[in-house]
Amino acid sequence: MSRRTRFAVLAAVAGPGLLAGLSDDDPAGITTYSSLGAEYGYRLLWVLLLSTIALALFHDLGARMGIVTGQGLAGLIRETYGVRRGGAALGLLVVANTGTTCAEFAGIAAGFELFGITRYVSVPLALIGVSYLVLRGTFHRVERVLLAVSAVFVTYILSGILAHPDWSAALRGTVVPSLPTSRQAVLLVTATVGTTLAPWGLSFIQSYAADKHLTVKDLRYERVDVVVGSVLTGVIGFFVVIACAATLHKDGITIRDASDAALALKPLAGSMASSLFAVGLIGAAVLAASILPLSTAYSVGEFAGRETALNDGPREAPLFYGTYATIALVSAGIVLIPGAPLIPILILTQVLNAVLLVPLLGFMYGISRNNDVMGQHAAGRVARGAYLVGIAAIVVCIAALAVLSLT
Amino acid sequence: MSRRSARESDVELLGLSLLLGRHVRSLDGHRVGRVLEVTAIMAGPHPRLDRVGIGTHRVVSTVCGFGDLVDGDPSSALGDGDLVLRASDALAQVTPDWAEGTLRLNRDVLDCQVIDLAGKRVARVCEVFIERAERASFVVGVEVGAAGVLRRLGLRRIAALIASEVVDWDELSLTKRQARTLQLADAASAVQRLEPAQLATVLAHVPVEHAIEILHTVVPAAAADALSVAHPSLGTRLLHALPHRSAASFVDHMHVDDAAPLLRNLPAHDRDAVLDSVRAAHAKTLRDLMDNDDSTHGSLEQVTGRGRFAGVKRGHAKIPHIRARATRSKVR
Repeated sequence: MSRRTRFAVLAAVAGPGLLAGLSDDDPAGITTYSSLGAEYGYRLLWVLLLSTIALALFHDLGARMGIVTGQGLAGLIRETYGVRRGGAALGLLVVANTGTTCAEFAGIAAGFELFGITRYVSVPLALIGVSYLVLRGTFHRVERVLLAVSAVFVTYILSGILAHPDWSAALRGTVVPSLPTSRQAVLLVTATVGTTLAPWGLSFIQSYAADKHLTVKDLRYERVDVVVGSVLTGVIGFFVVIACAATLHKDGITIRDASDAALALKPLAGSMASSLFAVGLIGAAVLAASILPLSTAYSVGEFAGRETALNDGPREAPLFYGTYATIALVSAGIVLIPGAPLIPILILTQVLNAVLLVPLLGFMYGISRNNDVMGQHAAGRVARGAYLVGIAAIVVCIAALAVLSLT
Repeated sequence: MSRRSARESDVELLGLSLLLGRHVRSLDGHRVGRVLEVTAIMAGPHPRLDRVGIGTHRVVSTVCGFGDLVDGDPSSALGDGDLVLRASDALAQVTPDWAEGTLRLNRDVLDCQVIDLAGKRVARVCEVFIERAERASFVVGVEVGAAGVLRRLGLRRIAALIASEVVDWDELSLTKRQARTLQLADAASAVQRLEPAQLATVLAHVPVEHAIEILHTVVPAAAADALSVAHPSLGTRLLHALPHRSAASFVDHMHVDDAAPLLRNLPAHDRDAVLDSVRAAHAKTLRDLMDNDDSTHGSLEQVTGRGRFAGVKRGHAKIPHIRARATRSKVR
């Protein structure tokens, strides 16, 4: 096969890994990375490296499961583990995804407010935009628009470069692990792992790969897509951390959310870096606000036995589009309620995501080794070992977070 | 049975989910385990119940014939009481091949995806209905939809508000790998009798691997007709996934106007490999047709409406998976 042909096939297959990976760099992720850089400088960059490896590992598993079985995660859990466990996983996923979508719309609101645009204009416009895209667009159009939106992440790279970071310190922080013995450091490490590897990303990549009708012939190309998506996710996180490490950490400034970081960057790295950071925040939020309801709609349809393709219209797939519209509408509505308790909602969402991640990974691990389901593509010994190490690391992080939260 | 409300269904129907998990007792009252699996033999229009797998913690340790089990307390509501073995020697130790060649209803049907051929949709089974009789018992159909799921989750009151649909076994195409292999091997299976447009609908709603198996099961002319009426992007994906010789055998049976758009969008090396195995004259016509079109790009993504799809602009409206061919077969 010629190089040109291989590239053409790769271009045709690419999408699930890129979108699932990049949408993990949502406002919650950007806030976590900003805090990581602002509070600990370059020291905790190694956490980002490990998170990126875990992201590639489990997104590859999700995509493989979707391609081999042609089913999404929620449906496959019901099929393999029964309706009760599948229902419990779906219930948690819907609640957590609704909360996370709230965070995305809150990110859109905060991003536009940096440019003086009120949330009562920006949030409804964003809601209409993402709903129109999914309701009216075909699979390929939706994919192309979302990939185009992803290009906005380049602003973080530019923003990081404009902050004039200490490259040698950044490299050292990436490859030499060190963990400050403080509660806050452990919290941030756990949050970084949790925000990079999200339950909705895992369910999305599997459903999306199945909806794209990828075949086992495409598996190696899809692996490239997943690895590229994960590496880009890590690289963007890296530049967010170093932008904040080179400016906010140096001047001892702490932040509460990503919009704080964009504002704080202005006097330290220039208005260009600050604006780029804010544009990146808006783009990240729009991308995630499109994908989260989509991921939820796929999951609900799969569990209910109403598997749907994005190419189906609303009349053919009322449950799918109804779920999408409900999640988007409720989330945007909550953000627009004056005095709504957004912070408790977001904290609860993060906790739910963390709680859900471990059983979800457990289900995925079980399915990955099930010959009845995966056939000749069942995970081998090495892969199973890697999954177990990844799950164990995440369990340790979440357990540490739980212990620290309770003490 | 075709399609009817579950509320109207025959009282003699037994739901598999009510059977699974129930304790099984020997004649002396000793508990030997729980019902974990029920197998059926694919014979005739409805599978005949064969054996019951009994064990604990998801591991089947013993088996007995389906007819060897009776309700322990006939006065209790279905699903409430333990089951009792009719005879003391009914149990047999499980062997590795105890379920070989049979349909495993819990693993392969319950909660699994099926294609409802009459409803032309993918659905997930929430209940498997067994018609229990003295001489033999049969799987007669399945229930799909939300009502059965809610009922099994314990939300019976909400479930009662929703009329569920029961689909006859004869109108189902199974999708689970082990099950569909058995079903596809059955010459009387519904898939074998489908019209091209119906077959294309099934192909559009199952994983590609399954679609390939179906295409290999039906005669090449039927497969070719189905590929001709399927959406070009699906047709291209299927040709891409097929072994080159199989793809060539289907292309051989396709009208050049139908085959060219699919081949045009295959990667160049796949296209050449398929055309090398196609009848020489047919291949030459196809090559000429594609050579005369400048827009041969060799990308799976670049599928646009041509021939009968001309004028359909992707992205301007939702494109249904299948567009029925109105006159082509008559013209040919």
